[in-house]
Amino acid sequence: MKWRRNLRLSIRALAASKLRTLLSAAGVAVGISSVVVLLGAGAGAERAVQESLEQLGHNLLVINPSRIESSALRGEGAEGTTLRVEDWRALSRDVAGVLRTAPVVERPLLAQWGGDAVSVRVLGTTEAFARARNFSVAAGRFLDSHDEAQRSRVAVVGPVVVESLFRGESPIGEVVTINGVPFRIIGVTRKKGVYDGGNEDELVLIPVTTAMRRLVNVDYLTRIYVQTVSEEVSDGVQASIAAALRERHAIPANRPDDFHILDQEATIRARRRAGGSLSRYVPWLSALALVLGGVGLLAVSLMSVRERYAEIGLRLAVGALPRDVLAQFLIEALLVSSLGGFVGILVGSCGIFIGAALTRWPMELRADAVFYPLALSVGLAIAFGVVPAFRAARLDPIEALKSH
Amino acid sequence: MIQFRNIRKTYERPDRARLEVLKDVDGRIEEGAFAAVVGPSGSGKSTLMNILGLLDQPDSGTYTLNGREVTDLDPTERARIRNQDIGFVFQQFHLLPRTSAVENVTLPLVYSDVPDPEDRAVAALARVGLSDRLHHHPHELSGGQQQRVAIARALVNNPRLILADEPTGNLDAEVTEEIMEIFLGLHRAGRTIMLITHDSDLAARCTERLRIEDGRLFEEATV
Ligand SMILES: Nc1ncnc2c1ncn2[C@@H]1O[C@H](COP(=O)(O)OP(=O)(O)O)[C@@H](O)[C@H]1O
Ligand SMILES: [Mg+2]
Repeated sequence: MKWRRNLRLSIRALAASKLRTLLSAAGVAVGISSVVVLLGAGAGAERAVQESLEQLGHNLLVINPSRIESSALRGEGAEGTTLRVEDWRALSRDVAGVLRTAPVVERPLLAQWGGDAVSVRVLGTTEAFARARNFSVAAGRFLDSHDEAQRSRVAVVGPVVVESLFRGESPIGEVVTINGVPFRIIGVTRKKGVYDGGNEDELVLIPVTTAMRRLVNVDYLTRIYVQTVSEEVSDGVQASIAAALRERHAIPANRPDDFHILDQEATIRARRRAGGSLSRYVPWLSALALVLGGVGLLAVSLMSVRERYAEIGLRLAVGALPRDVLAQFLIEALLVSSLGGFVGILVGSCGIFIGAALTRWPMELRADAVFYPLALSVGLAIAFGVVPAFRAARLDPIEALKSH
Repeated sequence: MIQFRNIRKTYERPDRARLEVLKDVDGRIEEGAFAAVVGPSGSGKSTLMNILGLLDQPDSGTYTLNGREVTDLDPTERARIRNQDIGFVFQQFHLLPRTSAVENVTLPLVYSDVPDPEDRAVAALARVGLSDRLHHHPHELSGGQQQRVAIARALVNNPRLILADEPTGNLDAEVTEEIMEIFLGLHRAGRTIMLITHDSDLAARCTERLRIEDGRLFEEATV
């Protein structure tokens, strides 16, 4: 058989019955476009997880003090006081699998400069904070060990602070007043965005020693960040930290922890996995849409075979072999399905861009959202085109020619 | 060129009674003959033609086409012979709708290896006088023109044998005459033609007449 000639006739046959062709292609297109959109949503969610992790820092554990449950102290100042500076030092020193640690004393305070005041989050911390939490400076420098040792009154500020207090002018070298204490600005952090409800760009970072002795006068920490050497050791490190802290805090075996440890990375992943019932139904929805498209293709192909009995009989009479007829109907199904596949990818891609622009659901078009559906539409054509094609190939030419 | 012996074809009817359509018929059609096949409706004319055209197989009997025993050939070889050596013309034309005359005529060439199918189709259409209708679709053609496209399709592979099953059955007298002229032209050009017809005038203009009746085949004397 001449493939080129037969392909031409197949295209002719499809073009000759445009409505039927478009109808079955549309069915495939609906299925494929929904797969593209769902893949896009999946890719977007994956990207969101990556971005969250990027923002948070990798392999990070967060240790918080337990909230005070005693009724007398409940309320505004009910922050736990159980995490000590010595705890932090002990953790960095004694626990295996820890890459670095960063202590944090955090307070919402007013920062003043040139008669203006803005509310900021002041974080007393150390040099290690930048690496652990993935912060970097856009200008100037970050806090260093010298600042920590000297309890220097220096500050690294976020871009939002620069914008609101300094109208975007460079603040390096300027002195801001926080709680009546003057701080010289030595650096500006790079823009990071909002994470977990807090704006990472409105921070004022100062040495933890300065914060504890000169600003808020406390001897306990708001939290400790622990970066582990790898994700795999996370569970073991958590257990070691818990054991070490319980021992340091002399907690009897029958009492609960006075701290809790959060594996942020695991939390983010788990949240995404469970997040949105959609993600759980994605594979089923795609499968359903595809099967519907395939059934449409099947129905239209069967109809097409029935309508073309006489044509099939004629082809057999003039020398077609059953396998030629089989091939022809498979090719037609493939053409229709590819057409539907292309349209579906196009529509689905538009859907992703529109969805990404109009909704807060993160979506992204990745290469696999194009190739995978294309392969699917080929599979669809074969899966649902093979029955009508076999039916056509098995016709008896005399009987087929009689039906007219 | 066509020789068959003891061809028997029996159908089982819905009431399980057996219908003997062809009862051990013998026959012979010489190369270049223009043979008419006549007989009452339902007598087995189409059945015989389908067997001679290798579309159907007899229950028993032997059939020699162009000197070759073809009764027991495999389906692939039978398809090849239908494609190369036989041209079919049917009462219902069987043209592909919404497909041009040229493309309809190229259909048999899809299943053969000849070069330049378009040129051959155009040439075949010229032989049936349709050079000015190459790109017309069937619905833009009259019944006679449609049948001429079908004849061109039967000719496009240059077969030695043309089998026509009541080709003028759906056409009026004037158009029937046009079609008959085409067949006579093909006959003069040396082709072997077998024409099933109910029209005794047409049959009378053929070189020989085969009559099928009661499952038997008779050769009628030329008048
Ligand atoms: N597939 C079939 N099954 C049963 N009976 C058939 C079949 N094909 C033809 N017949 C019967 O065989 C007889 C001869 O048919 P046919 O050759 O078409 O006659 P003609 O062409 O002479 O009118 C008819 O009675 C017809 O009903
Ligand atoms: Mg008949």
